[in-house]
Amino acid sequence: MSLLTIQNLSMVYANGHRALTSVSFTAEAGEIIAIIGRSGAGKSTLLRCINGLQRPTGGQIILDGDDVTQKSEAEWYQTRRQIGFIWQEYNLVDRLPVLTNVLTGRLGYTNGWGSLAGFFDRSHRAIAIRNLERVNLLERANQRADKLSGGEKQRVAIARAMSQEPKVLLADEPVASLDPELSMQVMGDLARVAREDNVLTLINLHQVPVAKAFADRVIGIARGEVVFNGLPSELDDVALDQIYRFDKLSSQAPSKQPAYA
Amino acid sequence: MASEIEATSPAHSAALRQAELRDELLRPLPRVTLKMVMAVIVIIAVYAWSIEGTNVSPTEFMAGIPNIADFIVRLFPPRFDLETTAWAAPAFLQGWLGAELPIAYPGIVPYIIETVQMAVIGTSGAIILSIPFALLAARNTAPYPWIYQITRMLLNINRAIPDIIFALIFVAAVGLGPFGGVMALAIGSIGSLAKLYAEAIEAIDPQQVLAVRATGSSRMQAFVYGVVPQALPLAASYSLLYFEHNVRSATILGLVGAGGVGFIITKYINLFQYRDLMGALILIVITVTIIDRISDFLRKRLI
Repeated sequence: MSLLTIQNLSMVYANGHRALTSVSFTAEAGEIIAIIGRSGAGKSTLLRCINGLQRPTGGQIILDGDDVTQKSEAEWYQTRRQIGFIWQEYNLVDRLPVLTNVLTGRLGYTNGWGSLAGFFDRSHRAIAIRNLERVNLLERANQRADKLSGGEKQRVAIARAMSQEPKVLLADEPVASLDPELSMQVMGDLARVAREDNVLTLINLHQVPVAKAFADRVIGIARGEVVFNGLPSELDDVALDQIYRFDKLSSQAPSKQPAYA
Repeated sequence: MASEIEATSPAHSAALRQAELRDELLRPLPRVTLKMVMAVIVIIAVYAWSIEGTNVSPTEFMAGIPNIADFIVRLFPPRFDLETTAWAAPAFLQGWLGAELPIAYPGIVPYIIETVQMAVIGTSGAIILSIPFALLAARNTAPYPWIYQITRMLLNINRAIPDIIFALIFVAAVGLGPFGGVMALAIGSIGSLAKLYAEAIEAIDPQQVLAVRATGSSRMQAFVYGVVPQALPLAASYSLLYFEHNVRSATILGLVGAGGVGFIITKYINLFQYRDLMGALILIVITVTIIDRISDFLRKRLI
C-alpha cells in the first residue's frame, strides 16, 4: 500500500474554472517528487487539496490508508499536523522570534492553555531546536523572523514544517523568490532533511534543472492532468513539450529548441 | 598543557557557545531577570497609586447599588416630550384630509437631526483641514524631520484640548447655536484625524512609490499616483469612524450652547425630567446605531 494514492482527483472552482481534470498517481514514503507544469496548470491546487486547504470536487486522496477527501474540517485538524507545508513567500510570522516560529510546528501536538500563553515544554523545544540546527540557523533562534534574509526565512520554514514530524511534506514553489545559488542551497537542505526523516516530499517547481537535480521522480501536469510521470533522466524534450508547449505542438515532431533543459 | 590549548581553541569555544545557547532555548519559562522584577514592581506601584488617588472601593460601590436602582426606576416609563405642528396638505389632498393636519413628534427630533448635521459639516471640514497636516506629520512625506516633529507637536496640543473648550471659544466668536459647534468639531478633530491619516500614509508600501518616482515623476505626482491609492482605504475608514465619533461628541456640545441635542438633555437633567431624558436617550441610541450601521457598511466596501 502506498503512503499516498491520488485517484481521478478533480477540482472545479465555483466560477467554473477547471483547475484539475483528472489527476492520478501514487507515492511512497521517503520519495522526493518534483511537480512541474506551466503557471495555472493546477500544481498549487493539487497541493492545497492534499492538505485540505481546498476541497476537491471529485476523486480520492488516500493518505496512509485513510481517504482524506471524506474528512470534516474538525477531523482535518488531526490530519494536517502530519502534512508539512512550505510556501513560496515563506509565511513566517514576522513579529515572532525564529524559535517561536519553529515551535508553531508543534502546535498540532499541544492543545493545552499553555501553548496559548507561549509555553512549550522541553520535549517540544528539543524538537524545534534540533530542526533549527539541521538547517544551520540555531544562532538566529532569538531574532525576529523579519530580520532574516529570504534564504534564511525559507530554511526556518523548513525547520517549522519538519517540527511537525510529518509523513508528507508539500512545498509550493519553495525557491521561486530566491536566486539560483540560494535556490540550490535551500533545495539541498529541504531534500536532505526530508531524506533523513524518510518523509514523502512533493515540490512544485518552475525550474526544470532544479527538479532534475533533487527529485527522485518528476510528475508533469498540463491542463489539469498528469502528462508525465517518470525518472528525472527520462524527462526529455518530447516530455517537456507535452508539459509546457502542448498548445503549440503540431501533429509532428517536438520543437527543436530545448528551452527548458 | 595540551588540553588547555584545546579548550581555548576557536572551534571548541564555538561548540561550547552552541551548547549554552541550546540549554538556554530549552528553558520552557523565561529566566527571571532583575529587569522583569523591576517592571512588575513599577506596574504594581502605578496601580496602587491610581487606586489610592481615585478612591476606588468595591464596598462603596456595592453600598451604592440601591441608589443606582432608584435612579433607573425614575427613568421609567420613558416619555416622549411631544410637540405638534400643522402640516399644510397639498391641494389635491385637502378635500380628503382638511387644509391643515396636526402632526405630533417628539420635541427632541429636530435637535437630533441638527446634531447629525453638525457632525456632517464639522467632520467634512476637519477632513479637508487635516490633509495638509497629515502630509507634514507622516515620516515618509514630511519634507524635513523638524517639520514632522513640529507638526506632531501641534497635533498633540490640539488633541489635548477637549472639544467642549473649542465649543466655548467658538460660541464666544460666532454666538450661540450649531455653527459654533460645527466650528468646534472641525477644528477640534484636526489633531486626531491628521494623526490617523499620517499613520495611514506611513503604513503604505514604499516600494510602489519608489517605482512611480523611478518613472521620472515629481514628488507631488508620486504622491498622487503612489501614496494616495494606498492610503485612501484606511484614511476613508478612519474618516467614517471619526464621523461616528463626532455624532456622539456633538451630543454634549449643547452643554455650552453650541447647538445640538445636548441643550435639551441638560434642560431635562436640570428640571429632573428623567422620564423625558430616557425618551431622548432612546431616540439618540437609535440614531447613533443607524449611523454606525451605515458607516460600518460603507467601511467594509472601502477596504
